[in-house]
Amino acid sequence: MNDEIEKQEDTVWTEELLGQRRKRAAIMAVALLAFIALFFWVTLIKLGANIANRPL
Amino acid sequence: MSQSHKETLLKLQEPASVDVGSAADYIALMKPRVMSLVVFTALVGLVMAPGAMHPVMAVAAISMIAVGAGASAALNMWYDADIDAVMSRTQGRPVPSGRVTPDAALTFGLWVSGLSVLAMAVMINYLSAALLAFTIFFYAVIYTMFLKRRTAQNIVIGGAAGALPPVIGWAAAANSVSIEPLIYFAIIFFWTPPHFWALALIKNDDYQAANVPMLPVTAGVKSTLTQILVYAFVLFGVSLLPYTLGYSGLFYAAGAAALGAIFIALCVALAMARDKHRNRLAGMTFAYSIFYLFSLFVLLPTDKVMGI
Repeated sequence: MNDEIEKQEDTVWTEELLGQRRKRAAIMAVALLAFIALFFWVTLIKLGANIANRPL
Repeated sequence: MSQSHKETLLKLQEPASVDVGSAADYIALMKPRVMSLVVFTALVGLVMAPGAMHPVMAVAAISMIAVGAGASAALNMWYDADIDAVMSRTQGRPVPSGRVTPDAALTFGLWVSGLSVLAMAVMINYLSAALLAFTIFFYAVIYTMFLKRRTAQNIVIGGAAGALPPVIGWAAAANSVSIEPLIYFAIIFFWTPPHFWALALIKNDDYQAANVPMLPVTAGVKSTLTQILVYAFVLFGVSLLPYTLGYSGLFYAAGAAALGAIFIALCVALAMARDKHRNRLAGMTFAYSIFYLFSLFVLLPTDKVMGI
């Protein structure tokens, strides 16, 4: 663990690398949001008309 | 040993310590070109299955199959980084080139594998999720970790992983598996050896350097050419099974026979080629094999729509 922290401290995070990492994080966020939207949509389809038929 | 080979080995002794991989590196980790064939054959399996599937459910199923295939590719790249670094075809991959650390590739592969199987189980059905889990396990563990470095039959047995996507697609739509998707499985299963061995002939030196027992390395070129031809003939027969068993019509049969005849002709030409022409013909056979499989899987739903 300590070795890894030391190695990370050794790495020079240039502007280019930081930009690359920001872009990667943004794409990951978009992918996760798309996954959540798909999950939500599939849930609605599976519930179908039962949404209206639930006991109140 | 070439200079570039030496440099690569030196690089491997000092593997990447911090993950600086870009989004493109992580996409490359999922072998997008292989994924496209997986997605396409899975889609055909899904379309050919009885009953109608809601389009959104179909998108969800195909997405999870694609993500699962990508995750198993990431696990493959994590494990194979040492031999990838030695082979010219794979030296530029994210792990051997040091852009993605081995730990990051492993973590990514495991998380995405688990997520794709879990999502498949929750959103689609347990059968397709179990088949997806088995496919990932078979490719990443059975093929990559056990078969690839031990036996010349590595891609024959390992080909089962690449042949399963149409079965998963079918199971996602029908929640069952019947003879028909198993025929699609057999088509890809018998297609894999001549497809891969054509490539292995071209990259024979690479596989030798990496000590991977591909058939041309262990059995020699002549034996490989004979086996390519044998598999091409078997594949021809198997590709006609959908028609023979009454699942497809004449349109499919005529198309499959024509495509198969060209494939056999190419394999015969490859087997008879002189040394100086062999690599060129092996390249043509490899490229045609991809076109051949795509075309067969286009013919199946087209025939169903035409109903001839």
